[in-house]
Amino acid sequence: MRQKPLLLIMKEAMTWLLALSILGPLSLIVVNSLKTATEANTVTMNLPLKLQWVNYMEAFEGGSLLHSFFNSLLMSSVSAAISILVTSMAAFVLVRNRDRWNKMIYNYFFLGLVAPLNYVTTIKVLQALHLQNTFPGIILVFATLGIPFAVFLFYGFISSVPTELDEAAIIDGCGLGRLFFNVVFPLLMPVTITGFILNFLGAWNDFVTPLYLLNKQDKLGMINAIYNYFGVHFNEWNMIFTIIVLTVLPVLFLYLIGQKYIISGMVSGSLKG
Amino acid sequence: MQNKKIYSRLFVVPAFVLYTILFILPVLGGLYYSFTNWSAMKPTITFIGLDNYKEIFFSSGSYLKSIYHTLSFTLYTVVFKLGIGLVLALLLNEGLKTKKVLRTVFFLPYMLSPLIIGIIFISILGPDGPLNMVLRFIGLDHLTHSWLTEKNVVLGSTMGVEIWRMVGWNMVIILAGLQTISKSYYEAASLDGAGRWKQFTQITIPFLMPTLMIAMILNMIHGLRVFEIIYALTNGGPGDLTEVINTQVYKEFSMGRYGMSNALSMVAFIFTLMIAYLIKLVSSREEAAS
Amino acid sequence: MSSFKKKWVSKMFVLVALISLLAGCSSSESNSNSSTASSANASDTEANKQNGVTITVATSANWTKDIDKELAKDFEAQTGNKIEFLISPDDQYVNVLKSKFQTGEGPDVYLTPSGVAMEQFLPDQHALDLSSESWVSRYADWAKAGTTYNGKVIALNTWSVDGWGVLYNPALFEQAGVSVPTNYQDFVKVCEALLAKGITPIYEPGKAEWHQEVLLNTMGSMLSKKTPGIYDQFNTNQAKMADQKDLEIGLTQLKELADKGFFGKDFLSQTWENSVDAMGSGKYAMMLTYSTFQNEVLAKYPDSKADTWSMFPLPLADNKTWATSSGGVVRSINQESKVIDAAKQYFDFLAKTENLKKYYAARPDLGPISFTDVEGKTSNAYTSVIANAADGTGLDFEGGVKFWNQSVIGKLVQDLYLGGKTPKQVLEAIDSDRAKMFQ
Repeated sequence: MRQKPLLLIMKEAMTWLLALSILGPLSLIVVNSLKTATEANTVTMNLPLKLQWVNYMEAFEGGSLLHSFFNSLLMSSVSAAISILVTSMAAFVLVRNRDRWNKMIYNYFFLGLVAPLNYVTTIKVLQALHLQNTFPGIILVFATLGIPFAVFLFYGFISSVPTELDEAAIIDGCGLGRLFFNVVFPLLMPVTITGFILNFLGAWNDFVTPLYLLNKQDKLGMINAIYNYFGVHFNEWNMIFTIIVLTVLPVLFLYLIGQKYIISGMVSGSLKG
Repeated sequence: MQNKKIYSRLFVVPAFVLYTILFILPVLGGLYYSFTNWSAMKPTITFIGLDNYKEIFFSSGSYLKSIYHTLSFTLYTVVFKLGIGLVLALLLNEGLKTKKVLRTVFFLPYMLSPLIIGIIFISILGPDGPLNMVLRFIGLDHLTHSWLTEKNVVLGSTMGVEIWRMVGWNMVIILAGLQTISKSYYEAASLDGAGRWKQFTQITIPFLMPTLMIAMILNMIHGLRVFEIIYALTNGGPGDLTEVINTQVYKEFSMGRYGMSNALSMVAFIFTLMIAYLIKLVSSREEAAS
Repeated sequence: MSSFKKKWVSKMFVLVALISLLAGCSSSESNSNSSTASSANASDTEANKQNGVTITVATSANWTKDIDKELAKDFEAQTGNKIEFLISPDDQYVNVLKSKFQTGEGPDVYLTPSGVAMEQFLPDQHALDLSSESWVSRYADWAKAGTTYNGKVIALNTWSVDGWGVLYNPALFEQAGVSVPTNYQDFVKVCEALLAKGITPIYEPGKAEWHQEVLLNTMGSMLSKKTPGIYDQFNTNQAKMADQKDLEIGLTQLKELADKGFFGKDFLSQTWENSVDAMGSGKYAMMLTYSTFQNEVLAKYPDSKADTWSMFPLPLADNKTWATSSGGVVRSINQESKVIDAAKQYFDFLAKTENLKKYYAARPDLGPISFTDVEGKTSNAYTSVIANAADGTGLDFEGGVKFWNQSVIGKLVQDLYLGGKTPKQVLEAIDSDRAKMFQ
């Protein structure tokens, strides 16, 4: 069904107008991060008189950002990997064998989307496991926090993977392990990447959990380093925006790489849940 | 026939164990403590039954108000997120030239931490901030507000920011739903002489229903659990104008009243569960009927 | 089937081992990273002081300044013991510390507000008795009083005693032809005269909840002077705020000040962080602040003549007293710390005369000094507010009344401005909030 080109152009223009409401606030950050403190005192869209790249240098030194960047990277990526691995396996079995028990297990995981996390009791559990204040401890917590939504995503996606493949593989003598890891898992790429990115994001952007579960300053991630830095530079909007740009960049990078998948993954995953 | 036995539940074990130990166990702990007067100010913990819950629902305190704010926040944001998300998805589904870029742009806010979004919008929504400047520039002076401090405006402002953050996410989910509708339905309909509106109401909407239902449940959950965005923007203030359940949970927690804090978050949990269940019930009945 | 299961069990094993290896080695890797980093910093001291310990110090971001970190480095160089600051954002600190105590993860040293506010961290269970430390004998009286709990000194104070009063710009007062008011009616006249000259009378950071609480806090000393023993009655939950006529009058007048526009339009979106700039701009004539605030304005605006600014007590309900704190922020040692001796050594180090001098020199925001053997400095505001307080000084609510919650009270006062609560209802809400804590 063809539309009139004029109408299409109008629609395109209108959508861009809407997109402006997203881009406006975001460009505000970038513009103001390049101003001097006095220029940025009243946050406006006016362009800076002179680009203050020095803000970025200062933020790097003042916030010891490199160290916390690697902490964040470690916590976010390992927890996302664990979460994806265990949930994809679980979801596969839950989809393929929908008996009464498995349906209950699925609902049990679904509870996690709704239930409130309790930090003090979480600390107590971690203490019992001797994982309090360690990277493995917080990584496992982050991985766990991602499980409910990831189960939801994988469950929907795997439902759309035809069972003929399974049958063929079983006839070829594959066990569950080879069936899943060699045959099915490669097909889950879009949702795996989506789940990985969402989990990664969750851990990357979470600033409250580490505050309670990590008692070590040198293990804190970027968001926490930044928030502490706010404390000192609370009235320098240019520095605040500089730091925001620095935290967002890695996430943005990841998003641009994975966006081809993220949307199709979200789509097919969430649809059949 | 395929043997289901190969799908051994052993595969579920790692996720199940991790989730049970690090999530369900602490939550159950929280449930238990919601029946106690556990407080950082007291050396002992006593079981007080439903007292915390009674206080939430029957005292004249601000708890009921925060429940009311949470529900209205949820209602409005769900409607607008879905509505705007649907419009965007329909526009982007029309084969616009720049649809890929646009899709990226609209999804962008979801990637940012709500805390950061809060900081950005505090400056945008200030009395002399960019939003009011734009309004003055286009001659709409009477629409300017002190967005985060005025009585009848501030809760709406927090909703607006949340909608801004989440429309892209809704758009993506709905877009996906749209793409599952086979083109042949539309072709057949236009051969029958059905107009675009008729096609929309008789093909698009019915086929999109399951997607919209799921999006609605997820939005509902997001709405009822709202915390970070309000915490960053107004911290529940000024006064208690934007106090929601989770900002109260946080407040009780910061006063060291862990028992009460847990009881409040259980209330939020039960609300969410009930509503999610209700939607699921309704939608599955509709599915069965159609 | 059984062989299948066996295979699976072994695979799971490998998986679990893999995960723990992954997590395990990454953590040990970064551990070694950080330790090499720190050993590089302190390589010259490392060699001869190998058995140094690490003392963790929990602090709110704004309570620990560069000078604290500098002194910590000096301490490290002298003793080989390392100080590790656990910094939480200001609005999270109390939460984090309390929950860490609850789970037995308390730090070795922790910072708290002085006075009755120390009690929120259960000193009986957590704070070490420091009464027999040598520096106690050199304490100024107020510093000792503000760190004493049940007859025991439980904290080291290197802060300052100060209070909140109305700092004003005399040049603007002169311009409007007004002088220091001594009662509420005069205060209103002063504001009206200023407003008539196009000057906003008061900079009030309405967005800062805690600053709204301070407005009420300043009436504490007046109340305790009029009704001796009232703080004890509050602390045993025998007296109610709602029964105090003066507080009700004060709040009614506060609302009136806001309604008359003396705080300016949109004052609820004004921030505390902007207050130095606001006062430095010369657009505002007065502000409720502490006595060393003028130093900060002067430092940023050298032409502001801020050093000539003076102060008077906030005359709500005709208050003529100046309410002071119990001494700012103090440090305590955790009873359960494994490095108590090193922590005491750290306190000794901080309380040394030369280190105190160094510390206070780097803190122009601190006025009177907590030790008698170091010469203090006082601002113009400090001397003038003492002179203007006809009824003398006294302890404020924060320093003397338990469960006085800044954020809760601040929000209630905001509610008062917005018309959501009457003065009486604000006081009743404070009572009911405090009553919960007594349960």
